Amino acid sequence: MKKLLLIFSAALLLITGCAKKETADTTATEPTPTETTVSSGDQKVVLYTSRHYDTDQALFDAFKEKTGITVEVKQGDAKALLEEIEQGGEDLDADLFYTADAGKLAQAKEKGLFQTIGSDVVKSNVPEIYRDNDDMWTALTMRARIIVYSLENVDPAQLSTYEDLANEKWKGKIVTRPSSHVYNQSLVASFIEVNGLEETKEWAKGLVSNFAREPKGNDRDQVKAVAANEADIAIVNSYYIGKMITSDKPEEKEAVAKVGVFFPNQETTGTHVNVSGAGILKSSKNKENAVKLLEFLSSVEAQEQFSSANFEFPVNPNVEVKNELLKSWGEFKKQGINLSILGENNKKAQEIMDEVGWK
Amino acid sequence: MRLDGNSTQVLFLLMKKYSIIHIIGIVALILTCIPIIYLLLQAFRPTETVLSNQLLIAYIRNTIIMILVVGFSAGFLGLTLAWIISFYDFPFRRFFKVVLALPLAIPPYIAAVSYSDFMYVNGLFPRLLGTFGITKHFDIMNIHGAIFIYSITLYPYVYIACLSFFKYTSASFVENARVLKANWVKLFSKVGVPLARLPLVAGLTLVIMELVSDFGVIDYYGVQGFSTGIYKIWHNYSDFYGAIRLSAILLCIIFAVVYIESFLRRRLRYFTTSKSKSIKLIRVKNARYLLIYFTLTLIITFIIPLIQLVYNGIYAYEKIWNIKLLQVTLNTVYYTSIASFICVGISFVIANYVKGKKGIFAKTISKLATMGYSIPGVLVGLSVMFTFFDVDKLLVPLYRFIGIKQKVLVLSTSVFVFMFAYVVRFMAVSFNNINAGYKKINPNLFRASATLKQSTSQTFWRVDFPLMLPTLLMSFLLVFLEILKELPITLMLKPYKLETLTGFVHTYTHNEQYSEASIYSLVIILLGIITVSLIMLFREKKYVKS
Repeated sequence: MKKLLLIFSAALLLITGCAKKETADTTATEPTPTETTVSSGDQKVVLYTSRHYDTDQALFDAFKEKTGITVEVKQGDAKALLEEIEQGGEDLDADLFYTADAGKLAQAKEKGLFQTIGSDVVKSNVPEIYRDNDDMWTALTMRARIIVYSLENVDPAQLSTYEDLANEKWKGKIVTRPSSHVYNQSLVASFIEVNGLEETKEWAKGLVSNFAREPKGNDRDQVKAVAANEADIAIVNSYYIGKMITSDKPEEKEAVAKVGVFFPNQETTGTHVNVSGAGILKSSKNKENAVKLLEFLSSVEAQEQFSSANFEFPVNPNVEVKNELLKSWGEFKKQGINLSILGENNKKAQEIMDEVGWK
Repeated sequence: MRLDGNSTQVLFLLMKKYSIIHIIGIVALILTCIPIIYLLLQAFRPTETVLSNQLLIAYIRNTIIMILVVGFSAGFLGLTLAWIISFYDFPFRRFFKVVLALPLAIPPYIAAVSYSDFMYVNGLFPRLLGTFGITKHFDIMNIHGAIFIYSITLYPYVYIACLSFFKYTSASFVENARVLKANWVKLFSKVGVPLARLPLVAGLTLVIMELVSDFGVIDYYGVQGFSTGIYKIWHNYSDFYGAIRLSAILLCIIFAVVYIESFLRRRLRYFTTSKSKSIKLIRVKNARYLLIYFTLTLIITFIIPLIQLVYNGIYAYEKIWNIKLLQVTLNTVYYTSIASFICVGISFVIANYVKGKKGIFAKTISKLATMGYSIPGVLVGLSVMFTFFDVDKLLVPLYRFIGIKQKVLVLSTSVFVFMFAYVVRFMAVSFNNINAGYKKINPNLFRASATLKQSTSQTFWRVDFPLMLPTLLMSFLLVFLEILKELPITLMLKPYKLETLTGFVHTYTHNEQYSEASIYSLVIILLGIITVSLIMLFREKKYVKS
């Protein structure tokens, strides 16, 4: 027993010893907190983000190369980050909040967490409809919530609008993820703006009654369900299709090869789009750097990265989309609503979804 | 002068009455409770959201169903496996003894994703069936699937608890029953089940607490449980305090159940005064069915998720398998070890303080301190963080005094709070284990030490510590396993720059890149396997001496 203990503690010491050395190395290069606030305050920008893409990190690295400013990233669930920002207030060491839903950005603004960006570069990079009215946040990338259909069972001529999905002819044929996910909440929130509360409720009711199964899984799972003939139609985000096509896993490639992509509402109100965007926090102690980062992320150079590596649509109109898949989808008509509405209508959307039993 | 003399005397008396080790215990106990009390207090804030009764009833109903079925199946699996291994001899017994605890290394969410992949269209299982000419796939993303996943990933809590209990406390009962010629059915039902009450309760408490605080599995499987309600109120209705209120209600229910159970158990004593002897194992003559049961359990609970992860990982391994992975792994081992060490240390002083106390206060507050395990990790993290935001604001004059300029959030952004949050979240795991360890030690030993004029602190180091060392190591490993798998607190409070394994798993699952996530999951599981094997090896050795 004693021997075993000895071996164990020796091993532990060894492991922790090695690791300690390593962390000591990293901390040595890092300025201590007190120094940070006093001297080298202009060398970094602290970004709170709910996005977790390798491609984002690549952009931050490029930013550092260009400007010498380190982007300190704190990842987390968007809501948890917002609570922290709200409670921490002015004392918090946070400069930017970056998230993948316009509704959440609008909520952050409503809570008074943002300050005005005030950058002409950002204004010229990003069209007005993708920026907050009061310049509190700006969109950086865009994704569309589209219809995916079974190539085997559905003639694309049958497809037209989101509204049509409530039609009885689709009974037992539609899948989508649970209402707990913000992409679906924002979809419904946009409908409240476009079609009004009552009509949206009716539509949601019809849609839910057409579900092939209880909502579950993520967007890729919905595509797989269509590929498996469990349903004919799925409502998913556009960039997952790109990711599945380029996936390393043969199963995902096989699944996505069995489905077609359809951008709904082209003749009417336009396809629902949502954005990832960021705003500068009131607590920001490195505002200049924060502005620089936003200017960089909205620049042509960075925007090309978003579309080529992550299948997101650029918001900067000067970017020529080089990605083959996005190019093949071509131009499409987008829902023209002000995206702040998604935040305002979020609660109503949730109530509707609860009422009609969208789980 | 006189006054000084008096106060020194008072201090001396106090020190005599409350030894340092006890004072540390009390402070640690109160500190651990503060975030939980903070959370309970927040629940009284006015909130506007009310979930419809219909929804709430559905959530509660589903959670109760899951608790009952998972409780039964995890209890059944854990108890029967531990019982057979403890008292019967059959081929590969020692092998199974260790490997049956391994599912503990797999985070439930990872198991959930792997299993649904494995069973669904194009998955490995339907393809296997396909070679036999059967075209069938299985959609396990529903409440049955969730129950299945929780059962197979959580049963080792019961298994491990029962195993150690049977080994050291019930040998004499079983031998007596054997002398009385009880057959195996009677032995199990009349001796095994009643005897196993303590480890069953201890194991199942952890199972249920982990089940109710989990959101990952049920969200992915589209099951509407109580934690769905907590998240819905918070995420969808933006009502943070409403979410806290729901958690607080849940916490109160769990607290009440745990409290009542311990009250009902108050007269039971399990330590044996005689030196415990190892029991003679009965050789099973026809072990075929037994081996089938054990092998099937192993395959279903462990091998299948592992195969699926390895299969996924193959596609990303070139991308991920590099020096950075090693670095992240070492980092993870490093901070997890330190955090586990702190957690066990704090639990030990608290358990030492609570041990001799008859009063309601110590008992109640120590139970309260373990409640962090039944609250979703993200809420524990936030309440610890917010508690220390307030503490920091109080301490500003002190910070200025010692020369920290400008900065206000000193403590709350420090490693201290990062570590402390784990203590609040996983106190149940370490404290319960240490407390159970204390129950196995004959209290006369502590009395003897007191008779020999040893102070409480001296007793602590000379009697408690050496006697409890194996238990402490065990707790360390158990907590290590938990922190290794933990996500929300790690994400929320870790220092910027610290890259962790769970962080990467989160990143990649969030992007639905399961191949990449699988590699990191496999490293977590590998570390977990090492940890669990160590746990089981310690069990092998005979360490309790009374």
